[in-house]
Amino acid sequence: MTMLKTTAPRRGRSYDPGPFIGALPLPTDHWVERRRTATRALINPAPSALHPVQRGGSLSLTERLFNALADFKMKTATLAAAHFDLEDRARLFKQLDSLLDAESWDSGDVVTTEASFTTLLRMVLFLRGRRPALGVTGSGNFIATWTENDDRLTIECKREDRLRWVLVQNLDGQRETAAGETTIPRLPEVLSPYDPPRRWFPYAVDQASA
Amino acid sequence: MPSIKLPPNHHIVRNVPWGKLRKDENDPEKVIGVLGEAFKLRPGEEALSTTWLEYFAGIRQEQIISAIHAMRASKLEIKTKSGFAMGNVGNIAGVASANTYSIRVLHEPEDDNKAHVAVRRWPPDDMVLFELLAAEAWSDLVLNKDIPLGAKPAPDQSAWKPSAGGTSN
Repeated sequence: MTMLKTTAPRRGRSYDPGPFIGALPLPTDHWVERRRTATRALINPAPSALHPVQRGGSLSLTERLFNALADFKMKTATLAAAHFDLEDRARLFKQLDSLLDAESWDSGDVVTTEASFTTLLRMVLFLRGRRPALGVTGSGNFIATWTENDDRLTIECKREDRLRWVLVQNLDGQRETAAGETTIPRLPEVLSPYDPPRRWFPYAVDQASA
Repeated sequence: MPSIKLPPNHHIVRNVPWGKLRKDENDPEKVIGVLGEAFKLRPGEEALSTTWLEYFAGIRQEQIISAIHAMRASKLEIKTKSGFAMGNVGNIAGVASANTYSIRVLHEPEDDNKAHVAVRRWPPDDMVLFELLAAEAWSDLVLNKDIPLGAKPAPDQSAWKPSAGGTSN
């Protein structure tokens, strides 16, 4: 088994993260419709936005999960409306609904934070390509996962674009592992020695090598 | 009474909440495995809590059902969509050892679960170790919804006897 605990960044040339979220090129197709959808979401907001909600510790777990879910959906509508098509957005909301279901939530876990969700959303938009499955940590962060046969990429989304990642993959019958911490713009370069980025995030790899 | 060290050919079961199950990218309700996060200690925890499969009598399927019924009868919060990850003690210890951890898998019965096993000397946070366990050594998974309804505390005595190969700590 080949064990690589960290990945040394390549310093051969300076790294230009390319256009990032704030400067992502607006899609030329359907963007008007997407803006319209985002506006509709703002006009018909989630229940928590209609009524001022308590944000103190007196809320029940169910209420906190409901509020968090509403916040995440609003965040998606405002931050990602121009970059997510309706199918992508519906898919993400279905994942969030499933994950933050009070009937399934472990009450020992911290409810996932908006700071982590913002990082998740920005990472997904930046990577484009294949959308991840979602999980949570006990400490309130989202986990994004990509799986193909025995190959697994798992990324914990921390606040302020910080990512903690671990990769397990098999190459010619040899298991290889790697892990580290980085930021969203550097993720493609940090993962570039491995196959998953080329397979799953070709756009991000193109950006990193441009 | 000294703790019994579990034989390497025995198995332990850990409850995995819904948020720590690995899902299909295209179907958030389809479970395809366990996340490494499932093996992380919570703040304040000194050992990883699991349940001993061979503590219960019967063939493997009966042991699995009995172990899960015992966990349901304990203070553990078992939700409908939870899963249970099962692993071989020797394989888990082997992966841990390859990552420089000398873990101890000890039968430490508790009032609410007589089949409780504490995995001690467990690292509080090691992403690579936890992901490797989730990918292989501790990856066998059953879903709570697939286990017959019911909850029954573990018996006071183990079906397995230490003379059959166990060692005391």
